[in-house]
Amino acid sequence: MISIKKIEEDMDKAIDVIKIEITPDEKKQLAVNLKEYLQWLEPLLNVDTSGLVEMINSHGAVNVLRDDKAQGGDRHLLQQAASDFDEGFYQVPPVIE
Amino acid sequence: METERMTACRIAEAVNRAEVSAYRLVEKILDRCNHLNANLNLFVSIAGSEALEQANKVDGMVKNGRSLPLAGVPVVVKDDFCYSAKPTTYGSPAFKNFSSPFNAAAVDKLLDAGAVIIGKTNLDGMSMGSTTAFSPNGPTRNPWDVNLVAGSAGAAAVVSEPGLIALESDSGGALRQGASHCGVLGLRPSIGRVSRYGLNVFSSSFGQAGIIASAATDLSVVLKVISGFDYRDASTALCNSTADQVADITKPEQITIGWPENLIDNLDSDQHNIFGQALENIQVKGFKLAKLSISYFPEALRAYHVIACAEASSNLSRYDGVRFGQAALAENLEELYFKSRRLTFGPEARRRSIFGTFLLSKGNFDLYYRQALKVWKLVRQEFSAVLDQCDLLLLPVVKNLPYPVAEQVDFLELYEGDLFCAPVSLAGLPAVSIPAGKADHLPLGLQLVGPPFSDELLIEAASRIMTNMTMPPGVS
Repeated sequence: MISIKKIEEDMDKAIDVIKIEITPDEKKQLAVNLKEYLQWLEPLLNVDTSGLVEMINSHGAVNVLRDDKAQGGDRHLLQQAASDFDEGFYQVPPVIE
Repeated sequence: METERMTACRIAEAVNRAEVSAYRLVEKILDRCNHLNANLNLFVSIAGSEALEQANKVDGMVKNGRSLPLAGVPVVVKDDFCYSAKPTTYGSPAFKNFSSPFNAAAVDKLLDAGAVIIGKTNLDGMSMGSTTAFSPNGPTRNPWDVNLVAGSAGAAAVVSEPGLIALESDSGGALRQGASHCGVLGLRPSIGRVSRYGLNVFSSSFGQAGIIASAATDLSVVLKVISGFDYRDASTALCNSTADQVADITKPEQITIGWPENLIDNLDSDQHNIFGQALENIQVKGFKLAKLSISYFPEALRAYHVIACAEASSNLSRYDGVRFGQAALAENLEELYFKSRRLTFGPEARRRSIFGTFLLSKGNFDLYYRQALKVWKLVRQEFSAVLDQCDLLLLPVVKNLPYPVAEQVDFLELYEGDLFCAPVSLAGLPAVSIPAGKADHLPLGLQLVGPPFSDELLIEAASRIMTNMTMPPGVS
């Protein structure tokens, strides 16, 4: 079984990929939870799936694509949903240092 | 006219005949919903003036000779569906002021059919859960016992006000389990029947739009209204049913309902007794029964959770505070991402996001995720083989009765609660949760599962075998 130390290391990498703030206490608790979760998943690993091809989507249907053309849309109305905008442009926090 | 306890179909009939004014009816329902909300915490927002305006419009159309399938029918909508007249919070504090510029496809279809949206119902944060215990607004209380969770605010609303319809979502079974806990009908339609355009789902493979109602006829009419192909949702089907491939409900003696003996043996005594009574009732109603065996339920539950967590981690990544979600105050881009996601994700969303990313990482992808995709295939084959031996399948819905509102339940116990529902979602089949009896003072449901596009047959069969529940004592 994977050690809690290894789980904590892997979880740090996952947190870095997601980029989410987690408190040190929460991180400890989540590592314990992840260990329990991986133990809980063990019956899944014991299923014989040799010869099976993975499912790709839930309905097996062919994708339906619309024409690659903009349709409808009201720029002003859409911008109402943003926290801040000015003269047609979204205002976002400065991100380039 | 006395409008209490009228079904949605009866309300539409009365409004279309101008026996009842939609405006007056909605006024009454709004009063009632405000009262219920104070006791049960049903709503994130109530659409007072918007609902009255819509009701007025319906009365006007009826006056001009229009007949609408859902004229004046009050509908509550789970707060993961977009409705432009009210904020769509998706159970996240970061969305408390977000108003969608458009309506979800199902919401538009309901409004076009004359329905009136009464309010947006409470939900677990980002719809992750089957209890509402993870709602930033606090849990919705069960009308049968206010010390217990309802499971679904839509179900709690419908059992308290039987003329209501609830538009709900279901991934691992929230809709069906809530219907069971509250003693109402809950339909998870076939994949492709109802457009998901405008519905926020954390799991693209399993999130579905569904319906909760107190009468089977209501389910049937609402399903007809909201189903159909939608070019904006590539998963909707071009056909609406394969009626020629499913059994004829008028001949129950030709319909076989299968039940898995191996699963039923492990139920607790209350569930076991109710399942036994349901089997007797099914025979009395003229259906044939077939004893079956189904494998892989615990494994299917785990495969569902691996895939759903992986999809959640991917789908939620867009809430970075720049493209989507609320931007936190930060001094640089990195900090902006970290803080904004903290602001947006509740505890369960954080957990699933981290677990999902872990499962998709190098070394774990093949071990867990690829294995789950193969088990998904296996479960589909297993259900398909079982449905070759019968027309419909009878299964339990819940593993446990609803939890006390104050109880901190272990997350794995909550995941285990999806034991009978998540495998059906994984198999991609339609299912209807039906009231089947009471354990102690609480309702308990069972679910009928059918082949793809057998939704109408499921609803008809449900209407014949469901147990009619009384109103919960606290709300009647």
